[in-house]
Amino acid sequence: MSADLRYENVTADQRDLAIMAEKYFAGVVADPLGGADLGWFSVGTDPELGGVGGTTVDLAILIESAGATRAVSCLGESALLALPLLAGALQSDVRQRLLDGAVSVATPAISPWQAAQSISAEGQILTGSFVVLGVEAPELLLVPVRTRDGERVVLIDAADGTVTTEALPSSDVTRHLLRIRLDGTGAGAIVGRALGADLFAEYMARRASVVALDAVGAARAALDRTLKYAAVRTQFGQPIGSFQAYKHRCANAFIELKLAQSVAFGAARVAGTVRGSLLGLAAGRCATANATFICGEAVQLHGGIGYTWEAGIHAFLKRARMDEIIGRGCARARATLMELDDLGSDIGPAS
Amino acid sequence: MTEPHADDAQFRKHVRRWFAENTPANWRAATPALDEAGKLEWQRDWLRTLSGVGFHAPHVPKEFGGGGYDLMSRAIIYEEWARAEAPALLLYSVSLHHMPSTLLNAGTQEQKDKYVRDGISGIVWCQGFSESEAGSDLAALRTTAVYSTERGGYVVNGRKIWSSHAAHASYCLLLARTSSDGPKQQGITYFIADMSSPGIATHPIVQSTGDKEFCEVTFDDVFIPEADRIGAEGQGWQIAQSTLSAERGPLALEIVERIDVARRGLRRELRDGGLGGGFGTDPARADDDAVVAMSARSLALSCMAHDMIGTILTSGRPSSLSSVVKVASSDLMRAVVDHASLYDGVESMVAHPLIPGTSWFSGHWFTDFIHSWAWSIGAGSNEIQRNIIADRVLGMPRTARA
Repeated sequence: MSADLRYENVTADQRDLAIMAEKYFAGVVADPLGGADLGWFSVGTDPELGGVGGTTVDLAILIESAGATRAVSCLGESALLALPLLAGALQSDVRQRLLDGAVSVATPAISPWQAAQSISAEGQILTGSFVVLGVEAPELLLVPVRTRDGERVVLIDAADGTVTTEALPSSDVTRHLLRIRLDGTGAGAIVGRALGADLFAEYMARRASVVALDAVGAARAALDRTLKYAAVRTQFGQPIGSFQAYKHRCANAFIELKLAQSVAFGAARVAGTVRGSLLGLAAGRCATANATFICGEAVQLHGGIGYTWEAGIHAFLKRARMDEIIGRGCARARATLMELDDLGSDIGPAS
Repeated sequence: MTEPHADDAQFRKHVRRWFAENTPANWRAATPALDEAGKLEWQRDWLRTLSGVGFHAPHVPKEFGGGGYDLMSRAIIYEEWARAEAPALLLYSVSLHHMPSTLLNAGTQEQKDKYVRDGISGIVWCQGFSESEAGSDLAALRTTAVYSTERGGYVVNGRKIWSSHAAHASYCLLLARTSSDGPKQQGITYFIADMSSPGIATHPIVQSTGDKEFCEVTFDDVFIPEADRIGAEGQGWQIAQSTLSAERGPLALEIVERIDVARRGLRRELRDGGLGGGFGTDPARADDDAVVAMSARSLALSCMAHDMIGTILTSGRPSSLSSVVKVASSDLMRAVVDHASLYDGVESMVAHPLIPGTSWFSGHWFTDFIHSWAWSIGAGSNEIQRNIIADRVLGMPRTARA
């Protein structure tokens, strides 16, 4: 019986949810809206606002489970990013469809500020292109833009005639990579918008939180497979996991995993607050980098078999690395992280 | 799982205010000039100030003179202590932590009454565990304790090493061998040694920082009365294992917070040009990638330390995260001072007198750089911690032993 590597600071119910979610996602890996039938897209949204309730930690558990099973899921982009960020700024029917998990969402894979600059906004008319990672045919696009009025985040109906989608070959074999072009997309296609000084910080932090949780899930699964392999693969007449050199690498990977889990779940726990933004950006930086390290160790510790396509360890590494590229963000994300960190003594530890 | 609690926030404010009002002003500048006796007195004064509110021993029940605080409150006290950059009570670390944990868990009523209240109020205790041939392999210790029926106690012979502050100690928590039969762990017994007993001598060991808090302690036919044996013969290993980690959980928050304070200090110095003459005069360095990565990791470590407290609160047992926190914190501490001492440049080359009570960060980055190995070696080396993680937490196949 190998160790349970899941994030530990949860209730017994949350532990059960994690186990159930992983089993469930494993059966619907190709479904962009997997879990919608169980109400998962409204987990973390207050019942008064139409959600099923639960906490953002519950939602984080679900997003992490999707990462662990390498599911094509837009749960994070929808429930941890678009819904709370745009909140009341959404058209009510769109909001309901998001809560129901009836509509898929994507957001720029490249760092949001660069994305913002790659789109020119003339009044309400958007033109430009960006790349998204995730589902095969997103129905809504959450896009940060900069206009003369300031920075805003808009939700665009991808079915509008001005929006074109081109599939790109994806290095991450578990998710789809698309180039989206906006060619004079106007107000008619915009189904939700929000504007505000702190909006970008929160967008970046929530974006980082989503990929951090996804990466943490992938890393956990990769380390779990490694530990199982170490127990059964023998060389020199003993399980390779009995060698101290091997053990210490696994111990180091476990340490990196625990740091990654704590900051990713810690960010989710206080999402929507200033500290939530600080921890979200820290998770985008630290948790995703740790996840890439862990998945790389998983390849190494599987030996030659780990380098094969068939073994599938590469899929974790690719997923984590892409999450890291997104999670690290742009220079602006880094500067915001340090600005929020400077407020540190006023924020207080997450006690 | 623990959620933020309104009372905790209130208590944190109270503790923060207390440290703001009671931390001795300019102590870093003032203490290095004190002579040895003056340094001891300064530590004792600080202990007395803290004991007014029970912060000196927050985990010890009030009936024994401690603060009697619950786990979350202790975590907050240690964290705010570090955040206030208030001096540590290094001289009393065994008196305040190992001694009460051990006696309250495994001692007789007489031992608790005799030693705990007095011990935490300003009597120095030391620890006699390691020997020159029993470091990471602690159970290989060879100091003997032989029972004498006519004297009603034990006669101890051997040598202990790495015993912090032993030269100033009144008592020693001692592990000695009462039997060589069976597995080596089973022949170990736990004692209290009165350091004024005939036959005990302490020999200071100068450390790489120039400090000499470590001692070798020699035991030459030292008599220990039977009343000063803790637990039964042969139970010493088990008692030591269960009490060593007792307060490590909440105490880790102090270290984690000191790291966070240090890396903030580093960044501030880089930004304000406070680091002298090195590469550090360029304010842009304050946000260079290494500093950003270090900051994100420090925030992650703080989250992890709180998760550890959360799991202890939920399960009522020591957390499997304690070894993880130990390795992660000492490695990050090493990284912060490594970076800082390099950036401090020429300024770093000028030796400074040691500041007592500075725990891991004195503010003189070069000293802290040299000192940083103390944490990755001490308290169970990081290599031993990795063994513990692999064997006990991850359940990996046992290592074949020669």
